[in-house]
Amino acid sequence: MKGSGFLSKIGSLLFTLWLLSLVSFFLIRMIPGDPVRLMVGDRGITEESYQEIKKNLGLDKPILFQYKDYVVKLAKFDLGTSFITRVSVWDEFKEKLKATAELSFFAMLIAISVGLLLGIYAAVKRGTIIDKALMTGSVVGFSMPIFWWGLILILYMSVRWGLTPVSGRISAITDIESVTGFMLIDAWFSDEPWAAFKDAVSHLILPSVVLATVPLASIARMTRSSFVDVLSEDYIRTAYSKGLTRSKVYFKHALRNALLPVITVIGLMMGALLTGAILTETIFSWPGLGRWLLAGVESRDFPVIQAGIFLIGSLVMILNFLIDIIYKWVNPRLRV
Amino acid sequence: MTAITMDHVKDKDSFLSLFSPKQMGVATTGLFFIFSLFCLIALFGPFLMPYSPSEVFTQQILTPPFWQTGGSMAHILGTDDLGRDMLTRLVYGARVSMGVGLLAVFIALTIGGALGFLSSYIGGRVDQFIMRVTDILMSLPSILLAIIVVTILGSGLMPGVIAVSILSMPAMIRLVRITVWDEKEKLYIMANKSLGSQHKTVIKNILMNCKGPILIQCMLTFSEAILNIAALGFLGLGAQPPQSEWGTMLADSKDFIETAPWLLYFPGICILLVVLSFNLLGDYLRDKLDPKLL
Repeated sequence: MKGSGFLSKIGSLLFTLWLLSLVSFFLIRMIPGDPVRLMVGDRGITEESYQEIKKNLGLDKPILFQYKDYVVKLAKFDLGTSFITRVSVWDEFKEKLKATAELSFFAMLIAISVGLLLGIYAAVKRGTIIDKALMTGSVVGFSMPIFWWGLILILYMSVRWGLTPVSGRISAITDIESVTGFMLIDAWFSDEPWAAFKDAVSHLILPSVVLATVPLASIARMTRSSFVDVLSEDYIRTAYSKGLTRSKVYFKHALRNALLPVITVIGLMMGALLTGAILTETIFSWPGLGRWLLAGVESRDFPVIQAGIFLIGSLVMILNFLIDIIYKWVNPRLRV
Repeated sequence: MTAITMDHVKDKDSFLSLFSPKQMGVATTGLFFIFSLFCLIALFGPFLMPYSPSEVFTQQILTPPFWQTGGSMAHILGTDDLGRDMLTRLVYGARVSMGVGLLAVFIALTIGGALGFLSSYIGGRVDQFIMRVTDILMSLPSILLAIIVVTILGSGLMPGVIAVSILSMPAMIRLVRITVWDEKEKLYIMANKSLGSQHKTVIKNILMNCKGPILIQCMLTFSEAILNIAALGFLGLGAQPPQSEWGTMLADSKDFIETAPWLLYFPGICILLVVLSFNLLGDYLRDKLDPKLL
């Protein structure tokens, strides 16, 4: 049973990836009008280069052949070159992915650690004014338009109080060589590691907080309700009657059992996290996937849009798939 | 049968009584008031405004709100970088946001609700197919879907609305499917069927007993749609500049964050207040309608 469940999961993952490839393939063909003319825009073009572009894109062949070519190229990570930068889309994607990954990682770190603590605190103080305040706060958190929240933070933290830089990943004067693509790591390879590291952190902190806001609110809420449930279980009473201290009961006995629904929520957040990342990157001029894709949409850079949708979509699906596996592994009850 | 119908009548009365100030308490009444105010503004506000949202006052570019030095009562909340009246634009923006929210709920409820219902009522292959499609829709980051729609249809308010409605569909399909599924297995529906009731009666009975969760999902859809359309506007993918929409207004305010912060404050506060009051009302209703959930 276990094996076949895993296989069917892989099967459905592959099926969804295939559908995604269809969507990204037909996207360019669903736009009304001649794609080549659309791509070239108002610049105008000679008949010769028109035919050349058409041939380069493979648009002169029958549609099934085009799709076959597309899939073969996808398998080789050949996703074409950007019209604007003339760089291979795959290389650009890898570069931008690191920036987004760094931001998302720290956002999730904040969201999970603070969210868990606040959730537990609210559950322990259940029914008191603290609980009410925290839970109202969490509704404020996930009602927050984060693009506005980010601008407000910039206005106060950066512009008025001068605590953090306004935008970007690193100051222009700090000289960092790209070794891994992750600023916090690359900083250590520079001439002044400590200063560069501090600079990178100060750039990272505000965007991470903004991106963390909504997930933090949901995690706190989920933790509270799951913790409240667990605290009324028999084994918690047993733990108390054994004479264990409160903190031992909370963190050793209750937390472990309360975590499972929380993990589910965290897993479901991957897609939302990416959406948030796109908004956050726009506000803070963070050179990540979101800004890249949006710039592609603005300049009608079709290879970037096409590849971006396929790659980002696949990324989220694969992450979801992995989380699903981890989840089953953590929770033996689900291993049927 | 009669017993069930009787129940419904009672249900209706108790549902309306949930909105009496006595039941709601001070805080919830306040929220209800804020939200109703926004509804009224969206409905009647535009008739009360002395200016048009695109009217440009070239002499009064970037006037601050009236309580700041340099502000005047002519433009209570100030003007923007083109000299348009902020209050007027906010009021028209309320109409756009609320309208989009309602439209998204309507589309999600009719199409999504119908699909969810069919999925669980028919079951089998149909169910599997619909579930697979919602799986895919749910695993794509919402913004990606919006970008797909906007790439095909071009950016604008209508493509934005379509994108937002598609986004709200999967959650509605799933919720309706699961509640109907639970309900149709219950004894009274079995009894209903075995007594030879028509499909119509059975369906009606199922739906009448699912309305609580569906109502709450509609509320969630509404507030999410408002956030999403504002986010799209902010990214330049939704409503386009001359249109006064809260997200687009925020995007315009970005460059004046230091010199004219009021451009930043008001649209954001409007979005937050509408979404927050609505979410808290939803919470309140959920607590009242289904104590099991919390």
